Amino acid sequence: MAMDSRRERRPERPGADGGKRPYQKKKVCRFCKNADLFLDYKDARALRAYITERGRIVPRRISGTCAKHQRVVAEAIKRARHLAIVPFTTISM
Amino acid sequence: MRKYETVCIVKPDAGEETIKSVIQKATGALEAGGGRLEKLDEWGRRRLAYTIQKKSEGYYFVLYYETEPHVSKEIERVLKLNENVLRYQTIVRIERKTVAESAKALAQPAPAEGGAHGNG
Repeated sequence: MAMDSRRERRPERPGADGGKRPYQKKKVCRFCKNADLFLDYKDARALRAYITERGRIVPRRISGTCAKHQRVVAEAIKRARHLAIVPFTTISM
Repeated sequence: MRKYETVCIVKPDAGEETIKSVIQKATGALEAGGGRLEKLDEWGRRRLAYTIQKKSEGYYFVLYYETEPHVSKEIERVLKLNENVLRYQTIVRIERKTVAESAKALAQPAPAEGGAHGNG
């Protein structure tokens, strides 16, 4: 998985160089950058960016969403799940 | 008065008339309670992300309306009692642009930045 490969790249002792990982650029929350961007729970296409292949909600550390907007994103995904717009999981059938 | 939106999924094999009657009952309950229907959005048949009552498809429709809280409760009750309804969900609506709309707005020159919504 992508996560694992990144972990391997991390230096031996994380925190040795001030805790900063060498290759990572700071991600900026997409919803903060653009004030009138809003994720609609009825829009499966837009939600897909925040859902893994397994149907899980993409964590903040991957998507770069800020805490405030991550809550909004999570809410939208959960609403969409209830209406079968987006799956809870891809293996449950 | 509050703005609401209700998404409803009807059994796709119920037949067109039954589907129509579900929509009619919902809008009827709204009118009886003195609400204003802003928009009825019928998505039609759509694949479900997972099966509900062994159905893998559903007929979706969305009601956008403005009314008092007890009327929206009544609409939910009407839908709950109907056997042809697979799912429904009502939310209080907050007017915001969706991702698709704001992407469109970005493509064109922005018509002046709106009052900053407190971010952060």
